[in-house]
Amino acid sequence: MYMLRRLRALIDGNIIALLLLIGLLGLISFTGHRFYMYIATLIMIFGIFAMGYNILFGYAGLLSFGHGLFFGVGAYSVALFTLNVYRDPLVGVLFSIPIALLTSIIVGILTLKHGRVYFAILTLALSMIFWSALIKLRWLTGGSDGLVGIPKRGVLVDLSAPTVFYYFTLVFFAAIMLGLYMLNKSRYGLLLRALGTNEDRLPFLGYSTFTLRMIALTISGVVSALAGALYAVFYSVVTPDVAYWTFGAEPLVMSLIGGSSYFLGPLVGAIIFVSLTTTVARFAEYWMLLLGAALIAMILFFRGGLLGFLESLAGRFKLGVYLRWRF
Amino acid sequence: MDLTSFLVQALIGLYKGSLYWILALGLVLIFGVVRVINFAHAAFYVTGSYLMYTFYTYTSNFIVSLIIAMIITGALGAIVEITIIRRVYKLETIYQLLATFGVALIANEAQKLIWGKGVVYISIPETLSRGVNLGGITINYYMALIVVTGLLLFIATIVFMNYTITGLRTRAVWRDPVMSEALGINTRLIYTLVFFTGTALAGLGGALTVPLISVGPGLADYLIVTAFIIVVIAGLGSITGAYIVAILVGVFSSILVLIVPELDIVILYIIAALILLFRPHGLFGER
Amino acid sequence: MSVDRRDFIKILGAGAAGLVVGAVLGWATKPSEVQEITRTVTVTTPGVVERRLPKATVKIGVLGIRSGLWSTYGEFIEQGARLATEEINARGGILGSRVELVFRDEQADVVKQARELVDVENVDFIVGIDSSGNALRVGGIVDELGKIVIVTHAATHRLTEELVFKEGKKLIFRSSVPVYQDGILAAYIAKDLPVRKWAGINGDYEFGRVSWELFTKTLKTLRPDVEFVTAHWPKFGTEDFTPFISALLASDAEALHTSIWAIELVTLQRQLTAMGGYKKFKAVISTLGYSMDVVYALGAGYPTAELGTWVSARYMWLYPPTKINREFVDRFKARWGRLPAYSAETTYSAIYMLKAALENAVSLDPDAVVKALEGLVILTPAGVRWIRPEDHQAVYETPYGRITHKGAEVPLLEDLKAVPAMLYYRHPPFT
Repeated sequence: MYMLRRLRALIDGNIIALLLLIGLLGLISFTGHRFYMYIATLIMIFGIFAMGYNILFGYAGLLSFGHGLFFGVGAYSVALFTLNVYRDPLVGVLFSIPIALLTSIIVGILTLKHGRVYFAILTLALSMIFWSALIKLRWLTGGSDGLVGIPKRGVLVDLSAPTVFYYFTLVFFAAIMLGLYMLNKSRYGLLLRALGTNEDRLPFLGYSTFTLRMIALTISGVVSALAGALYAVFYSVVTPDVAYWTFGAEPLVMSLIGGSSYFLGPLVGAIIFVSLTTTVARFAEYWMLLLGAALIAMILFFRGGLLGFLESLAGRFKLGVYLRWRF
Repeated sequence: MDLTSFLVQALIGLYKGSLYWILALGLVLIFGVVRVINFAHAAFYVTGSYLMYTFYTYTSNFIVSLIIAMIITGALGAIVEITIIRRVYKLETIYQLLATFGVALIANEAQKLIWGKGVVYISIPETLSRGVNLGGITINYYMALIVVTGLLLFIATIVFMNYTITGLRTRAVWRDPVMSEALGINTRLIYTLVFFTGTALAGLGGALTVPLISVGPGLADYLIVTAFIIVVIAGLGSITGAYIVAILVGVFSSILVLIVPELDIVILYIIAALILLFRPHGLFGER
Repeated sequence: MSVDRRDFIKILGAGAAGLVVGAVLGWATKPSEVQEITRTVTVTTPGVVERRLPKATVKIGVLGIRSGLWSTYGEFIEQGARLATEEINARGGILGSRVELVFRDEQADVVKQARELVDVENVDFIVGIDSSGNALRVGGIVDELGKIVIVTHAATHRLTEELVFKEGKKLIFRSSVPVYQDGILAAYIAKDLPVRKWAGINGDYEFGRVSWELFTKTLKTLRPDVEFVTAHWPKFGTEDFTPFISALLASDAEALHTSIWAIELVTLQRQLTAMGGYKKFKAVISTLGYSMDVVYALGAGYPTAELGTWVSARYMWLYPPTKINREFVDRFKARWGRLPAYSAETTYSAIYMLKAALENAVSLDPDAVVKALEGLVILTPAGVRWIRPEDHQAVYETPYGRITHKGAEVPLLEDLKAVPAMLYYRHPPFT
C-alpha cells in the first residue's frame, strides 16, 4: 500500500510526457531515415545539455554564460581519453564524469560566492579562459583545428552503425532524464527550487546556500559535460568552439523557449531550437535575421516559453489541472 | 626593451583605452539609468560607422557626416526603445538581454543588406593624418583626437549629470524611478532620451573609428564582449569607473603585447576574472 | 576595369619569366620524392548513347560562410560554383545530366548542413568550405556521409595529410593549395630578398601558427643567416592592430611576414601604413594579400615597401597567362562584374574536376568517382591541376608578386615568382 502511494506520488504529467517522448524517439529509429535520426540525436544531446543547464538557471536561479566550459570539458575528456589512453567511446564518455565533477567543484569555489550578475560574467570569463587554453595548448588539444578521429568503434563497444549510436544516445538520454525527474521529485529538488525563489529564507531553515548552490552546479556541470561527451563521439571531431560563450548560451535560449520554470521546458526548447535552426538555416542568407525576429517575438509575446503559453491556454479553457507541469 | 618603446606602447594603450571608453560610454549610461544591458550596443556602434562611411563618401565633410551619423544612430536607438525595449523594462535582466540580442542579430543582417558584405572604411582627413614620430613609430593626430574626444566626453558627461537640471532628473530616475515618477518626472521620456543619447554616443564612436579600422557586417559581435567586460570590471553603472577601467585595460593590454605577445587572446578575461574574484562588485561598484 | 593591353602583356611577360626562374630553380633542387604524372583525362566523345549517368540531375551541395563578418567568402564560392554550373548546363550538362546546386551556410553547424545536404537534399557531391575547423568537422564524418567532399578554400594541411593520407578517408579532396603557400612558398620568396631580420604577425589560430612555423623552418634551411626577431599573435576577429604594430616597429626587424587575411588584413595594412611601418620594413610578405576583397578594398592605397609588398593567394586572376584563364576571367567579369576571387576559381575548378571524373567513371558511385579523381590531370584557369592520389590534394602552382600601381584601377603585380608546386608542396608520407 505504501509502495503504491509512493508510486502514485511519483507519477504526473511530466513523467508520462517523458516516457512518451522516449518511446517516440525509440520509434524514430525504425523509420531508418538517417536525417531524422540525426536530428533526433541532436535533440537528445542538446536536450541533455539544456536540462542540465536549467538545474542551475531554472531551479537555482543562477544565470551562467559559461556552460560551454562544462560541455567542452566533457567533449575534450572523451577526445583525449579515447585518442591517448584507451580507445573506447563508452569508457571515454564515463571517464568524462569524474573530470566534470572536479571541474564543477573548482568553478563553484571560484564563482558561487558572488552576486548573480557577477556570477554570469565570471562564468563567461572562465569559459573564455578555457577556450583560450584549448587554442593555446596546441600539443595537447590540436589548437583551433581541434582533435579529429574520436573513435565510434572501440575495444568494448562498436557504435559505428547509425542505429547503434542512436540507441547508445537514447540510453544515456533516458537515464539522465529519469534521474533528473527523480531529483525534481526529491527533497533536494525542492531545496534547489527554493534557492531560486526564496534564497534568503534557506539559512533560517538551517541550510547552507553555498552548499546547495554547489550541488546544483555540480549536477548541472556533470550533465552538461555528458552532453558534450556524447557530442564529441557523435561528431568524432571536437573543436574549441564548443567552449566559446555563444555556444554556452544556446541551452539558455532553449530553456527560455521551452519555459525555464517547467521541468520539461528545456527539453521542449531543445526540440524547438534544433528544428527551428535546421529549418531557417535553409534560407541561407537571412537565417540570423529570422532568428533575431523570432527571439524578440518570443520575449514580447510568449514569455513563459511554449509550456507557459500552453498552460495559459489550458487555463483559459479550464483545463489547467491537466497541465501542472511546473517543477 | 628600451624606455621609448615602452612609453610609446603605453601611449598606444591610451588611445586604445579611449576607443574602449567611447564604445562603453553609451552602454554604461543606458545601464545606469534604464537598467537594461543593451546587447545591441555594438551593433549601433557599427551602424554609426556605416552611416559615417556613406555620408562622408557623398559629402566629403567630416564634421557634418559625423553629426548626421550620430543623430541617425540615436534616432534608430530611440525607435528600438519605443517599439521593443520599453516593453521589457519590467522583465528580468535575462529577457532584456535576449531582446537586445535579437535586435543585434537583426541589425547585423540589415547592415549586410544595405551596405553589402564587403569591407568598408574611409581615409583619415588630410590634416589629421600627419603626426609625430616617436622612435620610428608614427602617432598621427587622429589618434590624439580620439584620446582628446574620449576625455571631453568624460568631462561632458560628468558635468551634464552633476550640474544641469536634466542631469539631476536623470540621476533621480537612476536612483529611484518610482519616487521620481511620483515627483512628476516623466520617466518614460527620460528613458527614451537616455536611450537616444546612449545609442547616439555609440554612433559617434563608430563614426569616429571608420578612418582607423575597417568595417564589415557583423563586426559588432567582436566588439560587444570587450565593452561588456569593461563595464562589469568597472562596476555596473559607474561612469567614472568605466573611464578609468577602459584606459587601464587599454594601457595594460597594450604593454602586455610588447612584453608577452602570446597573451593577447586571453588577457581581457584573466583581468576580468581576477578583479571579480577579489572585488565581486567591480572596481568602482557600490553593491 | 582598365587594365590596358600593354599592362596585361607586361604581366604575362613577368609571369613567364617567373615561371622560367621557378622551373630552373625547381630542376636544380628537385627533391627525390617528386613523382611522375602518369595519367591524363581521356577525351570523352559526346553523343555516344550508352555513356549516361544514372540520374538526370547531378546535385552538388555548396557550403560556404554566408553569415557574419566573413560572408564575402561564401559569396566568392557561390559565384564560382554558379558560373561553372551555368557553363556546364549550357553545353548539355555532364554526360547529358543537368547540374543543380544547393547552397548552405557552413556557420549554421556545418555537420548538420552537410548531413542535411546528403540525407534530405540528396546531393551527390559537396564542394566549398571556408573554415579549416569546419573542413575537419565534415572530414570527420565523411565516411558516414558517403559522398565525395571537395574542399575549395580551407587551408589546414591536416585535412589531406592526416584525414586522407593517414586515416584513409578517401572521399575527401581539395582543389585549393593549403598552408604550404603561406609558409613554404613564402620562404622561397623571402630567401631572395636582401634582408636578414624577419618579424611575423599571424592569427592566433592553427592557420596562422602553421604558416609561421613552416615559414621560419623553411627559410632557416634555405638561408641559415636569417633571424626571426619577433612574432605577434592577434586573436581571430581583431578589429584594431595598433598595439601589435607599435610592438613590431619597436623591434629591429627589417621585413614582415603575415598570413592575416580578409577584413583584418585591410585594417592591418592601413594601420601599418599610418604608423610608419612601410618606412621601417623593407619588404612585406602578405600570403593572402592578393585576395580580391583586400585588393578592391585597398585599391590605389595598397602600400608598397621598398623591396616590395609580396602578395599571393590560392589563385590570382592575372596568372597563368593562358587562354583558358583569360577567358575565365572575362566570363567571370561579365557575369559578376568583378574579377574572380581565389575561392571562386577553386570552386569553379572543383566542379570541372567533378565533371571530368564523372565523364571518366560514367557512374555516380563514390568509389568509382574517387578512382577517377585520383591522379586526374585537368587544365583549369589556375593552371594544370594534378590530383595527387595519396593525399587527394590538387597540385598546381600560384606565384607571389610585388604590388604595383602602374596604370590600373586595381593594383597589379610585377616580378611574379613561381616555384614548381612539386618543390614547395609537402609530400607523402608527410614526416
